[in-house]
Amino acid sequence: MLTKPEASPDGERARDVCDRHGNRPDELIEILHEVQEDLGYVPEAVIPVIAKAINLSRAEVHGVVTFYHDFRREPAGRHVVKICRAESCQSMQGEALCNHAKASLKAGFGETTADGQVTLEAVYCLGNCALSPAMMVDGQLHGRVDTDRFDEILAETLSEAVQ
Amino acid sequence: MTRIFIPDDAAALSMGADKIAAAVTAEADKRNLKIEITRNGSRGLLWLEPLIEIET
Repeated sequence: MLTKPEASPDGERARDVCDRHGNRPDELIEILHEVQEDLGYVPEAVIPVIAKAINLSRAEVHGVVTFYHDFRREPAGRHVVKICRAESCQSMQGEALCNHAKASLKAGFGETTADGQVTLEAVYCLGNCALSPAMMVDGQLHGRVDTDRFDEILAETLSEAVQ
Repeated sequence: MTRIFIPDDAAALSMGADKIAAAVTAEADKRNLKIEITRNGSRGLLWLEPLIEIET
C-alpha cells in the first residue's frame, strides 16, 4: 500500500472516533454516526481506516455504510431537509409536499441545490405520525407540514445567520 | 404564582412548543406576572399538540 489514509486529517479523526468507542466492531454504526457528525459525511478514505481500527474487513464496513441511506458519501449542502415518505405521511398528502419541495428547491431527492444551500433527502418515518406530514430540517423535527408551512420553514432556515 | 406546563417531547417540539414557551415567558415578563413554566412529558395526545396546561 502506497497511500496511508490514516495519515490524513479525516483519517486521524476517524481513528480517534474508533478509539473513543474502544475499537469495538459492534460499535461500527455508532462510529459511523459520529464520523458523519464530525466530518459532515463518511469519506471513502476513512472506510479502510475504520476497518483496520475495529478489525473488520473493508467490505463489511462498506456494506454497512452503503446499506443505511442516512450515511452520506459526499458532503451535504449547508442545510439538510429530510421529508418523510412513509405510509402515514403519504396518507396526509405527503407526496404533494414532496413535489412542492422538489419544484421549489429545483432539486430531487438525494440532490443539493445549485447554490449549495440545501440538500433534499427522503426518509421513511420520523416517528411523528400523529402529526403527518413530517419533515426534519437540520435535525429539527416539524409536524403538520403542508406546502405553506414548508415555504415558511425554508425561508426561516435560509435567513438564519451563519453560526 | 401560576404554574404552566408546556410539554417538550418530540411531538410537541415539532409543533413549536419551544417558541410557545419563549412567547409565554416574554409576555409574562412584559406584564410583570409571576409564572413558573414546567416543561413536562407527553400526555399522549400527540395529534392535539401544541398543548399548554395552566394550573388553576
